[in-house]
Amino acid sequence: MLLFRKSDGLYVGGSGLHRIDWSVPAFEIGYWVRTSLEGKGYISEAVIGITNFGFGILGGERIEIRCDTRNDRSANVAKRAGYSLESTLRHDSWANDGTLRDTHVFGMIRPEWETLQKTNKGG
Amino acid sequence: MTGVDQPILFNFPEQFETTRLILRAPKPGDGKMINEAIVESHTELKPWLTWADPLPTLERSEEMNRLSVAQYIQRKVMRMNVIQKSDGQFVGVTSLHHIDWSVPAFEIGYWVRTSLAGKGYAKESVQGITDFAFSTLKAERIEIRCDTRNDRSAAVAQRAGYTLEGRFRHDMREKDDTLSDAFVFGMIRPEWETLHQNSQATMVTTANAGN
Repeated sequence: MLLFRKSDGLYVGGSGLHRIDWSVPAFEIGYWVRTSLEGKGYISEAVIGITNFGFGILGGERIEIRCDTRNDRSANVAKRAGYSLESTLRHDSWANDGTLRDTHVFGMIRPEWETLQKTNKGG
Repeated sequence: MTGVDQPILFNFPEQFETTRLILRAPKPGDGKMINEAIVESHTELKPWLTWADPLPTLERSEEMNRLSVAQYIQRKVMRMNVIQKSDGQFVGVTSLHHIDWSVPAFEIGYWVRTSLAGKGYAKESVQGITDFAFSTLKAERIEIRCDTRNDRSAAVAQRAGYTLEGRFRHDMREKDDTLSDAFVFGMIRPEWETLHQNSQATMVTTANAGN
């Protein structure tokens, strides 16, 4: 999905659902934001929006977010959106700098999302 | 070394041995022995392996087997049929699948027929295919996934030296419509090299003790 800023229609970045397993259904969320709009919380906002879409509209049972273990900003987006660290897969791909990298897998399952929804409505 | 660019051109031996077992690539006609083993092991396989229930017909087993032959050539899934050295009996299957040749990274799957369970054959074939993948196929990472309720399968991974890396919650839907969790075990090349050096040292020690 393409992300646009409401106020002026500026293109913010990309996010979306991939590695889809409709039999569960389970999704993975990926995202990036253009450098000039970093630090405004737009990605957290997009991830929360897509999470709600994945569970609320698409009937998701599980959503995961993966990132390089050295990518703290990406990991923080997952944590802030309420995802839990489930696993660290070691040496599962080559980074652009020619080293083997590790990958964090964050997950959220439907019962957790439902609790979050109630908490948000209650708050 | 960063990955294998053209795996279909990658030549390697398609058979190897462990102490008690031969592991070899599938060939047309293997379907019969595989089907007999599945029929015998139906009760034990069906909770964990979707293809085992309902029971496949002989024809279906041969169809799946020939598909395995094709996938092996394509280097997409490398399934090894496991044979007991002493009498040539079919033991079960150990496979490399979910392959990412760019790392290379593999996932190992396995099952052993019920009449030959409890002899440590699953562990022996997992160790054999682990050595094969790291030494011959240039693996950097191997993982084993299993249902968190499948204690015997998890024990095989641990006994073969794999480390629990995490748990994927609700990542599979079962036939009864419940959602199950999966354990992910992993081994990376530096760990295998350490294990391998230790086992080589043990073999040398044993050989010396024999003299």
